[in-house]
Amino acid sequence: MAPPERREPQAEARVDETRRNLLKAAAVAGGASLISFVALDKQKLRAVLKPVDLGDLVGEAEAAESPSELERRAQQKTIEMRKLCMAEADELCRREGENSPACKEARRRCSMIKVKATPPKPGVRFAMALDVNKCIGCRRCAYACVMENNTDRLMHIEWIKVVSVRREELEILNTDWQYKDAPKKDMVYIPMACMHCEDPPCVMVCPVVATFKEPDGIVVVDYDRCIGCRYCMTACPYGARHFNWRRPYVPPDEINPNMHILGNVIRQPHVMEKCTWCIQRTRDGGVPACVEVCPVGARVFGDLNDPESPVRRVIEEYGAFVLKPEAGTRPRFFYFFGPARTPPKEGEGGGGSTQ
Amino acid sequence: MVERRYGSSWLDTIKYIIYEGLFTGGKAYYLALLALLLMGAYGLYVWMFVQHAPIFLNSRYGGMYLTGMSDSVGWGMYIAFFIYWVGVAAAGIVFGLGAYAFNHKGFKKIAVLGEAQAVASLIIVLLLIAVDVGRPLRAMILMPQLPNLHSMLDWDFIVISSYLTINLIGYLVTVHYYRQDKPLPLKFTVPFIIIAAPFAIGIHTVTGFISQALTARPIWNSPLLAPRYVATAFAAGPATLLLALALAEKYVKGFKVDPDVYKKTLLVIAGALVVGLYFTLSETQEIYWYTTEPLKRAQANELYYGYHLPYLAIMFYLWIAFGVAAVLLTLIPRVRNSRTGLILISVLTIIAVINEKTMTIVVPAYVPDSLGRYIPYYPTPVEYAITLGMHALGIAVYLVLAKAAIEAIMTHYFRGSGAHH
Repeated sequence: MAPPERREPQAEARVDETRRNLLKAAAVAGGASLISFVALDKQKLRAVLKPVDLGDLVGEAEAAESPSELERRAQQKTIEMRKLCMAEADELCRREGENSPACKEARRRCSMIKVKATPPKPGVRFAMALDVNKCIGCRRCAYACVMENNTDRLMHIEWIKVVSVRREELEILNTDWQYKDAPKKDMVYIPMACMHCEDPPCVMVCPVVATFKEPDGIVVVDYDRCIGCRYCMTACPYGARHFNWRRPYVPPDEINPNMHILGNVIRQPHVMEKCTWCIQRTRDGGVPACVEVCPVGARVFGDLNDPESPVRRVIEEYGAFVLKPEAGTRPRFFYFFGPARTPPKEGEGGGGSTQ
Repeated sequence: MVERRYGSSWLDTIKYIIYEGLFTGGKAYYLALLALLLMGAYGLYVWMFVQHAPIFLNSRYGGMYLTGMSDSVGWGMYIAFFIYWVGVAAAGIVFGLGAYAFNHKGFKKIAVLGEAQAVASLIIVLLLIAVDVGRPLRAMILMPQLPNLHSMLDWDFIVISSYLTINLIGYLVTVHYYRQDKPLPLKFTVPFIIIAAPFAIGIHTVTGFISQALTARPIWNSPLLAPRYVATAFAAGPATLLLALALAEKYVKGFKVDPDVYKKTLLVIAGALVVGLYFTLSETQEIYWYTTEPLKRAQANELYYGYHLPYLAIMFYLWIAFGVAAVLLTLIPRVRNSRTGLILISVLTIIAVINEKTMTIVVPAYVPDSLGRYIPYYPTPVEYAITLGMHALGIAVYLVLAKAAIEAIMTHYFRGSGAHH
C-alpha cells in the first residue's frame, strides 16, 4: 500500500473537484428542500414525504401482503392440513374401528378441508355490537366459537369469555368469569373477545409484524410468522390473545373443514391466536358463528361503513359504549342496552342453561 | 509450567484470552467451571428437549405449558431475571466512568472487569430471551429481517446487541494493551466512554420502555418504571462486581484492589439504593393515598399484601428491609471500611435488588390480569432448571473472561510499568 503523503498533484486536484461537486450537489439539494418547504402546500408535501413503510422495503413482507402469494400459501396449507387431519383420523380409526361413525365422519371432514385466502372486500369495515340487556350468559357463543375455529381442546383456549357483573357498576375487575348459574336478575352478562380495535396495541408491539389489521378492520395473526414472544398478550387490555402452550389437538371428527389461512387453520405449537370474527365466514358474506348461534339474538354484526347495516342502526338507535375506553384503543366491538330485557327481573334467578 | 510468548497482533490477544481463561487454572477453578457447565448443559437440555420439544423435536408432548405461565400470566421468571441482568450489565459502566471519565487510577485497574461483567450478563439476558420466546429459530430469522420499529422489543434487541458489541470491543482492547504492558491510549478510552455510557443507561431505559407504555398493565403504566430500573441497577451491578473483586483478591495471588475503589463504589451503591427506595415511596403514595384505577390498586394489593401470591409481598418487604439495612450499614464507618462489612453490604444490596426487580416487577402486572382474573403464578421445576442453567452459562463466561482480564491486569499493573506510579 502506498503511503498517503506521496499523492500526485493530479490526484489531489481530482479529489478537490469531487469535493466541490459534492458541495454543489448538497447546496442544490438544500436549496430545493428549502424552496419546497417554504413554497409548497404543507399537506401535499407531507403526503409526498410520507415515511417509507419498512414493510415495502422487505421482499417477504410485500409478498405476504399480495393476494396471490397468500393464495399460494393457502394451497400449500390445504395439503398440510389434510395430511395432519388424515394422520389424526387414522389413529382414531385404529382406536374406534374402521366402521365407527366417528371414523367415517373424521375421514369425510379431512377430505373436505379447504384453506382459503379470501381477500378483504374494499370499502368494508366490520364491527360488532352486543345487547347487554338481552344476553343471558349461556356461553353458547363461546362453545360455538371453539367448534367453528378449530381451537385446541387440551388447553381450554376460549376466544370468548363471558363474565357476569352486578348491575350497579360495570367494572371488569369485579366480574365473575366462573359463574355456574345464569341468568340472574341482578346480573349483567358481558361476553368479551377481541375488540378489533382501531389502534390495536397488539399490532404496535409485535416485533416481527406477525399480527396486523386488515383493511376490513379484522386484526389477524399470521401463524407462520409469529415468534411466540407473547408481547401482544401483555399489551392487550382485553385479554383477547391466547397462546398455544403446547401442540394443539382438535378431534378429527370435529374439525371444521372450512378454513382461512389467517383464521381457523389448525395452529402450530407456541404461536398466538385470537378471534378473527370468523374470517372464513364473514369474508364470504356470512356472519360469525357466535352471532349465528346466539339464542336471544344479542349479537349484531355488520359493515360500519354501510348506513343501513344493523350495527349502524343499533348504535344510532340506542347509543353504544365500549369497554375500557381509557385504554385508548378505540374498539370496534360495541355494547349497548337494548329496549327489551331477557334475563328475568322478578322471581326465580335461574332457568337459563349453563355449562 | 512453560511461559508462553505472544505476539502483538489482535489474533494473539484472542489466543491469550482463550489460553489464560481455559488452560491455566487451578483445581478449584476447573471444578467451578465444570459445575457451571454441567448446570448449563442441563438447563439447555431441559429447554430443548422438554420445554421446547414441540419445536426442536417436533414431538406431540412437552411444550411451554410445563411452565407456570398461562394465558393470564404471559411472562414469568425468565423475563423477571432478564430485567435484573440487563440492569447488572448496564451498571458495568460505573467502573468505566470512574476509570475513563474521572481518570481514577484504582478504577482504571479494574474497569475491564466491569466490561467482562457486562458481557456475561448480556449473555444471560440473550439466553433468557431465547428460552422464553416460543419459536426461537423463527425469531432469529425474522427479527432482523422484518423489524417493527413501533415495537420496543426490537429497540431493546438493537441496543442490547450494540451494548454487547461495545463491551466486547472494550474488553478486547483493554486486554490487548494490558497484556503487552502498555497503558490504554486516550484515542480509545475517550470515544469508548462517550459511546458506552449512553448505551448503558439506554439498555435499561429501553427495557423499562417495553413495559411502561402499556395501558393494559396499569401497575407498569407509570413513567417512573424506567428510572426505577436504572436506579436499582446502579446498586446491584456494582455490588456484584464488588463481590467478584473480593473473590479475585482472595484467589488470585498478588491481586489487590485500591481501597478507594471500594469506598467510592459503596457510595454509588448507597446513593442508588436511596433513590430506588424513594421511588418506591413515591409509587406507594400514588397508588394508596387517594383513589386510583381499580385494576392498578388490585395489582398493587397483590404486591403489598400478597392475597393470592404471598411470595410477592414477602419479596417486596425484603426489598425495603434489606435496602434500608444496606444504606444504614454504609453509613457506619467501621462497617464500610472492613472487608466483612463490605461483603455484607454487597450481599444485602444484591438480595434487595433481586427482590425489587424480578418477580415483584413482572408478576403483579398479570395478577389480576386485564379481565380481573386471579390466576396465580408459581414457577415450575422446568423454569427453575432452565433459569439456573442459563445463569450458570453466563457465570461461566464471566469466570473465563475475568480470569484472562485479571492476568492482563497483573501483567500491566502489578508486574509491569503500571505498578510504579
